[in-house]
Amino acid sequence: MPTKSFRKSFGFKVFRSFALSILVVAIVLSALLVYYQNSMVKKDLYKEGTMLADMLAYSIRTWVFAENKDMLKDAVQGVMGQKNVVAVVVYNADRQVLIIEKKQSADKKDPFGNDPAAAGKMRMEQAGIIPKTAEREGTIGFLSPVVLETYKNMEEAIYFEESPKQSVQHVIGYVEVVLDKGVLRTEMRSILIRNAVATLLFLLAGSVAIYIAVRRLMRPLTNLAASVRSLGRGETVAQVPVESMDEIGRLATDFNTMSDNLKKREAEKELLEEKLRYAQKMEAVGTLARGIAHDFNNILATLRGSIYLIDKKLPAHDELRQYTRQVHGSIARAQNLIRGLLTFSRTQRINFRPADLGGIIRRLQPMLTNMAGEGVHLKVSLPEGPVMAMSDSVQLEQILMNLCANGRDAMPDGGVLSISVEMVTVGSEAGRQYPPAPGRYAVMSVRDTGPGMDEKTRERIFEPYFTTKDVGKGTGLGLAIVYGIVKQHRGWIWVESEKGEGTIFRVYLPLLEKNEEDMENKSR
Amino acid sequence: MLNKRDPISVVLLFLLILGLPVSAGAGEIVALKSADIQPYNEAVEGFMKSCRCDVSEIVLNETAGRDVLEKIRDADPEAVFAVGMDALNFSKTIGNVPVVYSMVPNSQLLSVAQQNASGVSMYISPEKFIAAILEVFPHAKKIGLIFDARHSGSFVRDADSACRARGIELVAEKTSRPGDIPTLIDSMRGRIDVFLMVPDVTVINPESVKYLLLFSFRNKVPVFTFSRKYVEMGSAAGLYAAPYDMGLQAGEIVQKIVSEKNGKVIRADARKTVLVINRKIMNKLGIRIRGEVLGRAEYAD
Repeated sequence: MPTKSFRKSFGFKVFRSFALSILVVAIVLSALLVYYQNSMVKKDLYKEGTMLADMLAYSIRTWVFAENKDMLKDAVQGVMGQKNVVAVVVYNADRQVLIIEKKQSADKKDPFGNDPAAAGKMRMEQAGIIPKTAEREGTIGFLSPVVLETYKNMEEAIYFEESPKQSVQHVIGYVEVVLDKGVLRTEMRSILIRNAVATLLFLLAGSVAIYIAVRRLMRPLTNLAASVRSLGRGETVAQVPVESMDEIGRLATDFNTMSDNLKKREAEKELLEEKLRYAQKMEAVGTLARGIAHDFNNILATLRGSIYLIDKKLPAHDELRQYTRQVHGSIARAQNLIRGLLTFSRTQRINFRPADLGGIIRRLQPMLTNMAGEGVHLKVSLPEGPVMAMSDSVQLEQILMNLCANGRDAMPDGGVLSISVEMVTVGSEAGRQYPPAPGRYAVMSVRDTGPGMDEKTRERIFEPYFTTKDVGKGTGLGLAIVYGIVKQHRGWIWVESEKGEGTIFRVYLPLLEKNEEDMENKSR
Repeated sequence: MLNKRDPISVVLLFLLILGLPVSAGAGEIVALKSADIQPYNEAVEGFMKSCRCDVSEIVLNETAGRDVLEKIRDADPEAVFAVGMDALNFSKTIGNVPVVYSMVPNSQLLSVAQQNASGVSMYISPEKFIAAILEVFPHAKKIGLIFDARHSGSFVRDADSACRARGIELVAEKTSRPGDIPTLIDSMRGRIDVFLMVPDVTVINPESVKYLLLFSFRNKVPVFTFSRKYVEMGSAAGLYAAPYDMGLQAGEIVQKIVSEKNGKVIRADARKTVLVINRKIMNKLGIRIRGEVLGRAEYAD
């Protein structure tokens, strides 16, 4: 018995349709076969009856002619020995019974009633002409005329063996051979049983064959359905095997493509979420830094004012002045830190103007070379034309200085520090793993050949006070300041680094096209 | 007196000689056969032998009637030799051409339309039959036969006379219905020594012959018949008219008719008969035949 789930399946519906078709075909074929076989049995019975009647009529011509009942009885008893014959009647030309022989059997009806001679005569007279068959309940009578052959010109024909004349036939009597119709019923029952068994076997074999075929046909579809269900539940789905190139095969191929795309989208989504989380974290850190910086700045202002007043009151060569100078120095360092924090938290006032990134780099190149030191080779690659962006050139210089200092610090044993500027078009192509949004960008890249960073480090490098440098060698605000400036310029900073492969920072700033630049200049 | 030197007289004399009949033989004759069977062919052979004429043969049942008539008219024969009853019946449609027949059962039974035809019939007189029966079965005292008075009345009367003359009895049963024949045959059981089958269309049919032959075997009564075919079927013996000789007879008649051209009708019965014996049947019936009879008889076994 099929399970409930199987009964509801598409495969079961296909199986049921085919099985029903087979059932209908089997029944129709069986009915036709039964009809045909029944006709054949009936035909055979008619053939047998006709043949027996004809043969008897031919063989007893002489005895009918002579009306010799003894001889007729001999001949008739020969026919009575046949299986299905229940009676034989011979009539003369006047349709009077010459002889009647019948099998006395308790379970068979007398085919002629109480007066066989009268019955036979009446039947023939009613018919007007002699019928070939006389069908009754339980029996069929086959009639054949007994013919005497003579010649047209008897005078001449009686002399010679090879008769030259046309023969003339005279009916001198009739023979009726009565067969039992019981054989029809027996044969019919046998045919019905045989056909029912054959139909059942055909149906059974057909159903099994169809069941196997449907299971085989439905297997890829079942696999596909299971994969779709898994996908729907959000599970990881393996590739569905493509077993054919038919509709189901194409469906499997399409499903695999769809599954791959979904996986990519999912990865992209996860990346974006990660970026969002990072941005939110940086925003929170920035807000915190901004708050602390403001409050701290106010405290420092009070401290500086107070120290100034103390300093004024102290004599010129007072010993305490050395302490007030130390306090001044500490306040100045604290104010530097506060500025850095304010830059990271993007609260610095930005003076946006069209600026050529290449020009800024060229202007800073001597200072950068000094800053890099002897072990680090500075390599600058700039385009011939200007690469303009709406930016604060002082802030951009800060970016460049911080990135280069970071690169240099990453290469204590020397290396190559490469700076380049280029114009980049970011498209909306699928599969892009990170922002910025599609558009034209001025991209400034700083690359070092240092030891690179692992992923864990890479995820935190823009956080304030995160540093991998030794204590006292870095404030941990350099890259945080860069991040803050880039965000204030509505740009993106992207870092690519692998352990042992060096690091590259790319700063994307919206490109200022020529016509935009002109409009911007006019507005000033 | 003819002047031997007169060339005109010489030419006239030559032409007169050419115009005279050179022999007693007939011109072209058409032999019209009812069918292409052996006895008829033998009759035509005999005819050709005696008539000394050109004979062209036409088989009636192989050619359409109108075509036969056209062929005969195209041939413009001096006479038509009709072989068989159908051929004789057809020949009355030909017109003013003398008809000579052969292989016809009995001249006395010809229709009015056939009365002008000359020829030879297969009729064998009762005397000849009785004589032949006694020759084969010398101990026979009672001869039985069945007949229809309409067809064989005179034959039976003559047979009765012949029997009486020879001191034997003829047991003759009269009938006009073929259906009565088996009963009549059965009624002869123990009453006869030999059964004479007469050429009577009421009596002779395939079933009556079979019945008669069965009667013969069961009761050891030999059947003497008028045709070779019944001897072959199981009759003990028979006497029939020789077809070849009938052809010879017919040829002679044609010669007479053509040469005399007096419109005289010449009719004859077969002059030569053939005794035919079935030795196997004779043996089965336990009848011994004398050597001299066997010596001059044909065998059909």
